[in-house]
Amino acid sequence: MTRCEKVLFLAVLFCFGFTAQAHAGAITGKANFSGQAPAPEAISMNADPACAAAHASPPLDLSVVVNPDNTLQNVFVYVKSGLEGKTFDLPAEAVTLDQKGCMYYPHVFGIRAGQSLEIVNSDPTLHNVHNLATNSKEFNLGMPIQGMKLKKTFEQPEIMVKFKCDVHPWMHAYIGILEHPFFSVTGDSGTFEIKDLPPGTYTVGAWHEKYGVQEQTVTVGDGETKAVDFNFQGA
Amino acid sequence: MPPSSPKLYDNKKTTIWFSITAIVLFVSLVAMVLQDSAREWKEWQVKFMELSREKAEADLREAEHKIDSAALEKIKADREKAEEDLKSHRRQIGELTKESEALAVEQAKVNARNQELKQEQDSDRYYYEEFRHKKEEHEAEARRKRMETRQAELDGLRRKLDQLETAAAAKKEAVNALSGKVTELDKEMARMTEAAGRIETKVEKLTPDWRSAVLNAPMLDFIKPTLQIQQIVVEGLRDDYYFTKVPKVDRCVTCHLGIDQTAFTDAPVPFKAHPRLDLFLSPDSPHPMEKFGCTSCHGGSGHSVSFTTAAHTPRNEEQAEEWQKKHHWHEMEYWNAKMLPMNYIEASCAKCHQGTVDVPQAPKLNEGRRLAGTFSCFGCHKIKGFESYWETGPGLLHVQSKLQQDWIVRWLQNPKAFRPSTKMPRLFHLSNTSDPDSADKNNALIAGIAHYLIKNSEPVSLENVPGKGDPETGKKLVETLGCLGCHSAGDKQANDHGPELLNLGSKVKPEWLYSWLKNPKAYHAGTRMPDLRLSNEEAAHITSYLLQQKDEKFDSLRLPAVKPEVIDQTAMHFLTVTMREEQALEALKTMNEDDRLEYIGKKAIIHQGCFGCHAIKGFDGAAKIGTELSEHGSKDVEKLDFGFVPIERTRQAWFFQKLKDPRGFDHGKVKSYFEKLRMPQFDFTDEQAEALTTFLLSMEKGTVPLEMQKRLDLKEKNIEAGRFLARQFNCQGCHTLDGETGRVRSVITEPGDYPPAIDGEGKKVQPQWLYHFLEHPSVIRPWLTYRMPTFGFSEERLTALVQYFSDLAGETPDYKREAVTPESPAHQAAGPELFKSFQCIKCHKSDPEPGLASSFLAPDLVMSKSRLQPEWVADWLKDPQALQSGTMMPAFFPDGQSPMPNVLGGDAAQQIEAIRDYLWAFDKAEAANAMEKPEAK
Amino acid sequence: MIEAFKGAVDAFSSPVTIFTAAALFLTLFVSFPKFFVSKPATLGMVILSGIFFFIGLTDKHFKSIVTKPDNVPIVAMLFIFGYFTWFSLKKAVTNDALVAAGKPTVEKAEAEQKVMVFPYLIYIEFVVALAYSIGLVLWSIFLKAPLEQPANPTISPNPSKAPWYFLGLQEMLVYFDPWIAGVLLPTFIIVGLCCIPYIDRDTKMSGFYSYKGRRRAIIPFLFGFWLLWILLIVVGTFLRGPNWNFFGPFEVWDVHKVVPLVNVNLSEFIYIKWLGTGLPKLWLIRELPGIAIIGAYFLIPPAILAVTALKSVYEKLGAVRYSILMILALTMLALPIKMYLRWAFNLKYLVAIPEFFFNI
Repeated sequence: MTRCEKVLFLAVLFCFGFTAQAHAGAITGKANFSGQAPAPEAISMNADPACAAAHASPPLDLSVVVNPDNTLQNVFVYVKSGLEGKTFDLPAEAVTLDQKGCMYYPHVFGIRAGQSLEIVNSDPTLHNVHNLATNSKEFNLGMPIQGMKLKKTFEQPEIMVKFKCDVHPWMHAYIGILEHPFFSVTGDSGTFEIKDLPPGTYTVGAWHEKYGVQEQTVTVGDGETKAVDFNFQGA
Repeated sequence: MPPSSPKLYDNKKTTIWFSITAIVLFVSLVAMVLQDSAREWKEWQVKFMELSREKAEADLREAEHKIDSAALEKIKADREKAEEDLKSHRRQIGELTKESEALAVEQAKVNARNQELKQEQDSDRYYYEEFRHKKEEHEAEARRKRMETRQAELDGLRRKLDQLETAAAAKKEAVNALSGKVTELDKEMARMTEAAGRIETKVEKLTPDWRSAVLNAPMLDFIKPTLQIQQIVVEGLRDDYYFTKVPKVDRCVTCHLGIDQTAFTDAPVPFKAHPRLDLFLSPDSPHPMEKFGCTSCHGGSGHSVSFTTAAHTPRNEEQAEEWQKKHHWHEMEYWNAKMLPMNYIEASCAKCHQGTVDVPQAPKLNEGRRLAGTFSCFGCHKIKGFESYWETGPGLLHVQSKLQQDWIVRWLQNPKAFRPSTKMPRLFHLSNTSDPDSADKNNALIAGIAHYLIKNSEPVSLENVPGKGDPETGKKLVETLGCLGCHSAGDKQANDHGPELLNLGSKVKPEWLYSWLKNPKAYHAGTRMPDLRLSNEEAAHITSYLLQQKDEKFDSLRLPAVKPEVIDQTAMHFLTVTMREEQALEALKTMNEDDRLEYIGKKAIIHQGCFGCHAIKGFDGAAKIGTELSEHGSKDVEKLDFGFVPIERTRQAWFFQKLKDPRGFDHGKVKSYFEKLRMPQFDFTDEQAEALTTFLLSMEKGTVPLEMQKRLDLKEKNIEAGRFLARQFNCQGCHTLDGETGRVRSVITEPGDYPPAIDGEGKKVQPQWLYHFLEHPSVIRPWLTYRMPTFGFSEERLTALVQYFSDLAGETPDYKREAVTPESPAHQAAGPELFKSFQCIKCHKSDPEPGLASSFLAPDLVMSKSRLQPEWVADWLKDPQALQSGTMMPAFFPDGQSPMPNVLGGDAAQQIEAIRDYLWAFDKAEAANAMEKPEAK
Repeated sequence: MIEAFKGAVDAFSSPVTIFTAAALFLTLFVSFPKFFVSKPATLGMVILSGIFFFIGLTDKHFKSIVTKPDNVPIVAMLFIFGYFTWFSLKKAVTNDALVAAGKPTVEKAEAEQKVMVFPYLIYIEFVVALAYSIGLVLWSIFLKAPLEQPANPTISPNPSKAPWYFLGLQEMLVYFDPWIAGVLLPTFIIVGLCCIPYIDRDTKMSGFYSYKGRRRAIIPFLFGFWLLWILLIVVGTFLRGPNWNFFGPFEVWDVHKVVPLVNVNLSEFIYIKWLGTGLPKLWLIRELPGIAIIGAYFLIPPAILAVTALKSVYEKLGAVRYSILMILALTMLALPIKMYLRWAFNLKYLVAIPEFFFNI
């Protein structure tokens, strides 16, 4: 290509990207919880004194955490379909999974397929990271030294991969591996936000470790922000 | 010429007849030649050529597609330019060529002269030497002088030759320089179109034209036909034609042309490729076509080349009709070795694969063999290879201590009324013994058998049950102790090696069950039931649980009345076999009622062959009552009695029918009670009957010579012996071993509670430890509720099992204890340090607290030095998942990297060795030490 | 209706009935030759046999036997021999009429003429040869020689039948001892045929077809050829099935058919049944009745006939030739006599000497 052609090409690309940016849509919403919220269980860490020592009082189990406004924490919301054929840049930075006080932080999170996951052991006790993935190779890595880090990548998308520790049976975390960056986890406000969506029709999925999966379809126009709520039924 | 002869009649009619007959004869001769040359297989070969041509054309299109046409065009253009250049230099090239030709002529002349002179030189040399020797100096001198002058000429000639050669080479180079480009480009083009060119020639060859028509024409097709019969001469195998044995020649490939080519996997029959070409037919498969042919597995007439005479067998009625319509197929009534229908094809595997427990890749045959053992076909029928099979039915030598006579009667009336899953078949009240007369006899015989068994068994002393057991505890024990490894109980149906634990309250008394659970061999020495080392309380609990369940319906079944006159009649029948009627009556008078019942009971046992499956007093070594089946696969169909049953007149149809309805061939026949067919009814499903038929068909008269069979070497024989023991004692009921998953896993919810998988045990544990463990199991994983039973193996069996595990892992068992010493003091110190840092003791606790879930516990490491093999421990530390996939043991050295860079220079391999060496010094004291020390840092 | 017909035929069929019916028909045939060669009778015979054959072809079993490549020649033979018998009788009757009218016989009239061999002989022969070749070629195309399995020595085919030309003798094995039926009778047949020219030296009636003058020769010949040779071959081919049981033409060949066959020797008849004493120990005394009967059969009738009905024959032939003729004729007659004795009385052997393996 001649120099002139090259400049024109880049210019068009810039404009396109800019316009895409300017017209990016978003999906926000809440994960509501109705019904009887189960009483949060305290985890007994007596099996390992090092773990018990790390907490003033036994920490609560993170399986079901209901916010005061009856919204549900740790719901993984993601775009299930509608992005076929599109590719997205892979972020260079890694996502960190920390083992602190014999608990996994964060409890539920998302990661890109091919993105690095850095697993840190911040405890003075032995942990092992045992993943139970079906689309990727299962691994079971011992992390006996405090402060040691291990890097792992997942090449195949999967919803959701459970991580557990064989030494401490109460520890578990869930990772959603996706090929696109459109996912979000509800926190203590029970809300989620998926930004920078190109316009289109999408199926949005919401996953909770105890209350199952739900789906909704939403069409996002140019620059539009659509609100989608998920309602989880307590037992 | 005699005078004009008188006419007898007008010849015109004769001439007309002559012309007619001549024409008709010609036509009929042509028809005869055509009919003779129009063979089925030629049509198929033509079709195949068409199919191949289509495929080749498709390939050609693809290949041409692949050729970079732009590049090819460029080369062609270049070549044209080069040719034009060539043209301009034509005159030069012509001159140069003429000059090189002249040079060549010169060279030839010089060469000739050279040769001439050389010869003369040699001759002179000879004479010179001769004369010198004979001391004729004058002559010698003359020769020598001649040689000198000649030599000069020879040298000159050689120089000239060199010159000429140089000149010729120079000329050649010059020509090449001018015209070389064209040849180079030609080569380039050829290389690019090579693949396509090959396929094109192939397509041409496959296209029929006038040449192939002539070569294949009748009368001319002996020269070089394109349509030929293809055959495989199978070395070493012969077809038995009764009065002679001829070499096996398989001509199947004449029509089945694509049978060994993967390209024809989806072609229509008969060109379709054989399934599993990796297993059959390929030159690198275990059954290459050139060595095995086709009929050695499929049967049929390999020598023939027509569809019908090849003895193809249809799979079922529909296919038979289809073939009749399409190919005018009819059965080769007289051909004995018909092809096996495809649903029984695995039967031929056994021709060569003998002496193994299972034949690889032959599931139906293996299932048939297994069923033949489980349902104890060999109990009545002598079958080669089943001589050392284990007892299948419970021993009846001491049955009076176990069962009531009434129960036996009810059981014999119909076993499935008590236990639907029983393997015991029904012997009485079947389709040919259901009329009132036979029913009476049945009842009499049953009563007799029960009476005989009770009377003729020795009592055993039974223990009393200590206290009342708790059924709830008993249930839990049954479900978690390991009973389910062989038995089914309630809704937990994982294994059927032992009888289903159903309604035992109606069958046995508590003392018997308690004694049996505590020590099975005390009741019957030949039993397979092992000792689970139950405590008295455990046995009591289990007894109370199992005896809770009763079968009221069964218990209330009316005992059919036995008419005394029927007993007498039956007794008379048996007595008159050896005595005359008067003597028999005398003998009968001396027997009281009990004696008569016992007598007919004994005779009934002889008649029905109960001793074939059960050990019964007085029947050691009694002859089996059924036909020998060792060569039933070759049984003459004419010798099978089809009776009035309207089935196909084939071996397989007869076997299948017999297995599904053993007494059916008596239908419509008039026979006395004791002449009727005796085979009991097993209630086989269609799949089971098919598997068993495959097994029966597999037992043919030895047609394959020993050297052609798959011979097992010593290692394989050991493995097969081990496999047999594993079958006998149902190892895979609990354990995952040798390709089978532990069956009991389906009724255990928590994967951590599974009995361990023992694949690779031969590499993992020390042989002498394994020997002692199998002899007297000890606890390795205290959190497991399932208990390894004590089987009471003999020394022979223990050795065979240890050998089996070793051979499976590819090792040789070495009963020496392995010595392990650390390499250096640094290593010796590094061991415990690493042990502490990795916190092994967290999971590998010596005394784990109860209540911790099983997934997070590991065996006590104090056992390692006496139990494990050192190399295995090192491999395990390196990558646990590779040795036992799914294990909870984490990998501490992922990708061969150590997380401890400061110890032993961060070398993962050395660290592993250090830990391993430490384990060999690890004892209870060290373990206690490790537990006490609080976690550092 | 056809089923009823088939059933009736099967019910009627048995060795006795078939043999007797054939004998009766042959008797009529030779008693009224002029009638049987007349147009209506000929047409009638052809149509009736045709109807039977074609009705039979509708039956699957009959068809499979009759169209078996092995058996096609037998069927053809029946029709061909029938035709030639009728043809020669026709010629004979024609000649007889001519002679009765005082005219020369056909052969004599024809003998006056002399014509060239070619074309009047050769040409026709050539055309016939062509036609014959056509027949053979078409035969080879449509009727294939059967290729059965390799012979299994442990399984003998049931029924085991001899080649068609020996089936007559195999049928004889039912009624006679193998030595007689297999050796003696065939020898007699061959030797007897050789002897004919030496016994019958009468040249008067030779050279032309004639019935009236050759009755004494034609009737025994037809009798021996048709009843004792062709008919037995037909029975052996089509009507004998597994275990050599007799089956009607439309009866299915059932291997399991069991027919009681209890045959009693003459000596047992006489000594056990009739006299009530046991069988004598010495074979000579035991078989004396049988030997006597056979001796009487061969000695008495010729002697009586020589002075009564066959006086002219005796004088013409002389004692030796007459005796030979009588032996041959009586032996030939013995076959149907023995067959009827078997059918009527279940007679096994007239003379049974198992000590020497000699039974008659």
